[in-house]
Amino acid sequence: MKKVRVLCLALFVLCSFGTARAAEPVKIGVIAPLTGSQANLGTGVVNGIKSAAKRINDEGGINGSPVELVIYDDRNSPDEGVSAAHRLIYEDKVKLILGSIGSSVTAAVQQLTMRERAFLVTPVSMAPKLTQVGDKYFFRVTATAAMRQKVFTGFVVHALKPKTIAYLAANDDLGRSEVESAEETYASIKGPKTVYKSFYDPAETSFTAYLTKIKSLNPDALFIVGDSVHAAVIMKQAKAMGIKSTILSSGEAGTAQFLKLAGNAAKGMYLSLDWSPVFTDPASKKFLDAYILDYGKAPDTKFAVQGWEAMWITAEAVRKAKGMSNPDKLREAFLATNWTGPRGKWTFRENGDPAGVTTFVVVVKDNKFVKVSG
Amino acid sequence: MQLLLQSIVNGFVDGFGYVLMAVGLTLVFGIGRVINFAHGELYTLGAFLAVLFIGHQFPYFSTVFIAPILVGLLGIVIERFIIRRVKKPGLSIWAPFLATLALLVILQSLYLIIFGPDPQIVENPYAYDSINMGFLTITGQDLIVSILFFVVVFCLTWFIRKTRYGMAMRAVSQDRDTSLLMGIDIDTIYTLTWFLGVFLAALAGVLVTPKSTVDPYIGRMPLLKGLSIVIVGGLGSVEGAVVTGICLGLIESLASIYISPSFKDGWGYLLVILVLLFRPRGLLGRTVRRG
Repeated sequence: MKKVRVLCLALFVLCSFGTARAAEPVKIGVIAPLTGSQANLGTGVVNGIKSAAKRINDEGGINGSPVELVIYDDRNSPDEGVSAAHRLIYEDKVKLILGSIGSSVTAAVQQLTMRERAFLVTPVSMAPKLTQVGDKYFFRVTATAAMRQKVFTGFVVHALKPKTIAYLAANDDLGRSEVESAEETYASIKGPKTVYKSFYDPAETSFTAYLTKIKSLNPDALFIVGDSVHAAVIMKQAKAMGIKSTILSSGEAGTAQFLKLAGNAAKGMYLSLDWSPVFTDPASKKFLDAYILDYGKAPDTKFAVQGWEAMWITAEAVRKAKGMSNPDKLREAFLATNWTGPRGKWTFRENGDPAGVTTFVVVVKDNKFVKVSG
Repeated sequence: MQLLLQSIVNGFVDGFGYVLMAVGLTLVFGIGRVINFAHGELYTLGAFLAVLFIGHQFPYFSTVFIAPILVGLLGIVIERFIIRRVKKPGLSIWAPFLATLALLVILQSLYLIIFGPDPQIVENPYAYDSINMGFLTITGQDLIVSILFFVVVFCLTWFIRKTRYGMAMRAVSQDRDTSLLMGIDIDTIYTLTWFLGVFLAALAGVLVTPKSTVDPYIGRMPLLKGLSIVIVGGLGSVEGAVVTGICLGLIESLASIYISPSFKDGWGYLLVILVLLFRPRGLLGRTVRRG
């Protein structure tokens, strides 16, 4: 049944993008969670990739060859991710994969792509270890937690000057790494002192206990790491309990869904954001126009932009390397990337991490994200 | 001191929500002899109806009554057309249990189709106003939950203790066959019990969810907590459910502050294990006679 579904999906993709059949297509594999708890993120990324591929093909493809996407669902499970990668590499003969979302899935897929000397370009996964395993053919089109924290902590220390800070984060890879890197950076720049740190179970719905404790400690700032839903619920409960601390949050909450769910409670909250649909620079506008044309509305999350950028950067590199037959030439092309997307100018370090990518600090005002720096 | 008081208040409010779930479960079990595994889904339905009604400009206070009544009517339908049909001699005694389990899956899938997977919010104007008494903060929602809890428990106790139907319910729970011989219309009592039990689940949903969000899968935790309370309090015992539910709320709240917030959902199960080991009938339970 699953096979049939994936086949249909692949067929659909082939039909929608395989119009120009003049030249041998450039096959690119995509692995993302399209069902399960991370489905909305995965769908966002894939939508962005599809929009980009469509524009690339409209502009004549890569050196005259159209881009052909082969998309598989990993349900945010490392096992499913690896079996999708198997199919892509051995059956579909794909040499480059865009994926995945969850760092644990990407890490599992990386084991295989590294062995097969295939390229893996992740639009989303932030775990530092991905670029530390010595994979020459791995590139990350996103800032890691540490990179984002550097910008955000700098702003917090200079503009908000809190003396004490409390942390409330989801008990997962992302939550732990965000809090860890925030604490480290604050310690190195004489930032606020940690007075409370707790990790909640991602299945939690009531945060009263944590917030009661936090209220009694009355920290100057409260740093929240969680997806849109958790962050919104925490904000509402914190507001109801009369917590006066300045609320800081990671970019995961930077979505339209968060603003809708949190409503007034989000007022005056600061976030570090890679991108938001409120941005109006030319690259963001080009992306938004394309996305709205394809899907009828602006994207909910930043994930679509991440897919869009990963696809464009990949296409540029393949164009420069004149195909994917020589992996080392393609690696050189990736390292020579100099492309400006909605999130800023992209260049890469030797280990595959981005160099000098921008993160913006935004504040919530009138139920909108407003840039305050970056 | 302030922290202690606040955690006690939080514990009571959480406990009230648990009690509403547990009393419904224990009524349906004590009288109907069925563990309703779909109880959590009826809690969810109450919450979804609240989202729907309030979205259509219904005032919250009428929603609090209308939504549970509608869900209660669904409870009657479930009892009449599903439970009663599978509770026949000749069919396995497990048939009603499996039926409610199937209902859980069916309802969950229906919610996914009808309401979608995205979390939604019960827009309650009072939820985030709070009364600040200097050292203690009570949100409007907490106050509503507390007041309605006492009203409902009072009415329920009066109904069960003082009315003819209540007496009949107690009689059926004690001895089904004798009640039948005494001329009690058992089918009506079953229907009434299901209505009440399901009404309470949906009421819990309408009251508790304004503090968080509503999606098709929120029913799991309330069901598990409700079941633990029913086991600890004694299967079929309403008093046991009330006492245990409030205790569980208090234990969770205090332990989260003074021990570890990560273990919050573990206390209920720990209590279940202890009670099963040392007092299998439950704290206030009586021996269940099979009739």
